[in-house]
Amino acid sequence: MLDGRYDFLDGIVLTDSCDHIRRLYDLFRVTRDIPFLHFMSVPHKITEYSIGLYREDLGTFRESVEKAFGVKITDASLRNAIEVYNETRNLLQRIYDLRKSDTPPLTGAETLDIVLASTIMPREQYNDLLRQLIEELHGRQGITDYKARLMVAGSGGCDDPDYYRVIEGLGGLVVTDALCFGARYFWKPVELTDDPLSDLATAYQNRPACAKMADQVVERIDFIKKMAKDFNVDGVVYHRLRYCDLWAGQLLLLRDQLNKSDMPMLELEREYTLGATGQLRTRLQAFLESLGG
Amino acid sequence: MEATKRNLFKEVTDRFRFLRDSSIAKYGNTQPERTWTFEMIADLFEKAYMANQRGEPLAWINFAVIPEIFWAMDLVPVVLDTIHGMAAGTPEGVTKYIDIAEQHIPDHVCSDNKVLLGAALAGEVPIPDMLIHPSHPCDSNVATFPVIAQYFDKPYFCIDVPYFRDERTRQYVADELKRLVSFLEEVTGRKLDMDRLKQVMEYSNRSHELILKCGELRAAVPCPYSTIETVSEYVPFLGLPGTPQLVDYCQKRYAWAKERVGKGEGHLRDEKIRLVWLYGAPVFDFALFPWLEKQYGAITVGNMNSNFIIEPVEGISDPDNIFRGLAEKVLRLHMGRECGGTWENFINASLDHCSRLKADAAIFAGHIACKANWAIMKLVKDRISDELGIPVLIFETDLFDPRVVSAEAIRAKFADFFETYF
Repeated sequence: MLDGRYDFLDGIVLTDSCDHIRRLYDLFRVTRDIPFLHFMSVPHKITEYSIGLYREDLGTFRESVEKAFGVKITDASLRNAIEVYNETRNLLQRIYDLRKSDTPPLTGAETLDIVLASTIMPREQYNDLLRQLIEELHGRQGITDYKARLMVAGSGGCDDPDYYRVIEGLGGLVVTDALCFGARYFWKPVELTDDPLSDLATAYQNRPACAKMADQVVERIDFIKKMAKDFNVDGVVYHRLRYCDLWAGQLLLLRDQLNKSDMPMLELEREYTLGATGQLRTRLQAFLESLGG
Repeated sequence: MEATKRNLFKEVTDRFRFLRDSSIAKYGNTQPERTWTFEMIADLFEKAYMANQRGEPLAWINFAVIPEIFWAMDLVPVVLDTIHGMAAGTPEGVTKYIDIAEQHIPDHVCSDNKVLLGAALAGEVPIPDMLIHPSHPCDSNVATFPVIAQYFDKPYFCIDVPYFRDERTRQYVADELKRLVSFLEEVTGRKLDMDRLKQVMEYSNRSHELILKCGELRAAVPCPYSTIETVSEYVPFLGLPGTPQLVDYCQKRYAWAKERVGKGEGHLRDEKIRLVWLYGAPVFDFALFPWLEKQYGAITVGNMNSNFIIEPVEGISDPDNIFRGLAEKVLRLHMGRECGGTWENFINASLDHCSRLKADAAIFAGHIACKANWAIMKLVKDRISDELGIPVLIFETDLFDPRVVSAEAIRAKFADFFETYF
């Protein structure tokens, strides 16, 4: 932002997902003249009251977008968008389902490429391509030469497919995840009723939660355990960004819970940019060996 | 031979009784005010210790939870941050708990929370019957409280605090506090008696009224308070509002300070530099404060943790007013007030603090794990220097752990700072 690399943007929307992001909002306001800068408060627990509060904030967000860009966001257009995005969710789930196979047709890195594309492409076009891809994947020869089926779970900074390529270059195959740029992004659809803003508030509050949701400790771990079981993984790679306290705190319970489930776990700390790959490879190799790979 | 386990409640109680007795031995009955804060701290943790010994329910709360509701339900609220702070200054310190915690969670999590986890895992702080904290001001609390609760299988309640400070937030937090009461009633089987809550609020109001008046007196030049009194008062101010004991303390303290100010008496005979700490202070080294006073004539007139700007709650015959007033208190208790929400909360509170207390310099003891504050400290420093024309000393430390930056290194920072500016 400071060197003008993102000057092509018309606006930025941030949330109080963590201390880092909320202070970024402060620093953007003070240091840059951003035409549209919106900050959304997000509750830290899931109750009917918190969902109501979040629904109000989504309404405020809608109004500020309408005002800033001279557009009208009707309930009908919201419903339409939700349906399109639900279709994405459905298609991505189908792609994930294909990875449950003993011979998955996609690597983890390829899958992350696909999910990341959803965050920047026009959705209708993206959905068309996903449908084509699913057809092609049915005819694709599955991957057999892997040493272990892995799940990746943990904190942000999970938008770098090269990170997966390091893991998969050593013989691990990432078959599923519990990441914000992965399954947690699309795992649950938005159930449509007569109030699309309430539907969005309900769905976004109830999706597999980031560690900022204080009352979702058990649910978060249960989701990781269920995904590990459903995708028949041999081990979990739990990676977290250094200084991400929220996901750091989960370790106390997660390690304990996965131990009780006889699920091996490798804990990795990393920076946002991929670095120290030698050290990373050494730890992954040792983990894969311990899994018998 | 297995080492004897500590009980931090008892240890802090004994420690502050010892400090009280030492003061009496040194000054006789000539300066009884020197013992008041020590006695209050000892009494507070003795309450927790005795309640635990009797098998009564204990609640772990943090620095941004109001104690009044707990006292009204005859529950002992233990403000964990205060016990960590006080235990950090004992000869044994709290570093061993940090080491234990780091076997389970990473080092970059706040040591305040690591002490809690480590002491609990070591069995050296009684495991409570419930844990309560608000969702602000930092990730570290959200990261650890619910996980610790789940680990020890204890009931847990998070007071959800929306990001922005406005009327809607106040009402939402007031409703959260009502839901907290339901939670406490369910966990303990006790009903909140509204008449009892009203009585507690009368004590709380009287205390906060006096705390505000004492705060005004602290602005006098010279300052009537010693640094130790200023930085340690936050312990009773956090834990005891709603009790008659705190009212008595505040009445004594106010009368004492008023008399001193009337006579023009300060703690230092030659007060040269008035310091305001914008954040906490290194509690592992309480000897720092007398050193600053003796070496440089530098007295701490304000410390964020002791900066209680809590207005008494009006109209307490109406329960809704009580809950709205307590919600306001949740937003205005230190740390939550400065470090929660936007950076304007921090700078506005800091500017007010420094100007009200006529500070000659401001200090930011940058707790290494407090990412949210480090992110804005350059902005804060520039604004304070520009608007108030006073220098700001920024240094890195871990408030609880002397191994990160030593007491000697911190003294050297002060020496350089004073040499440069004074």
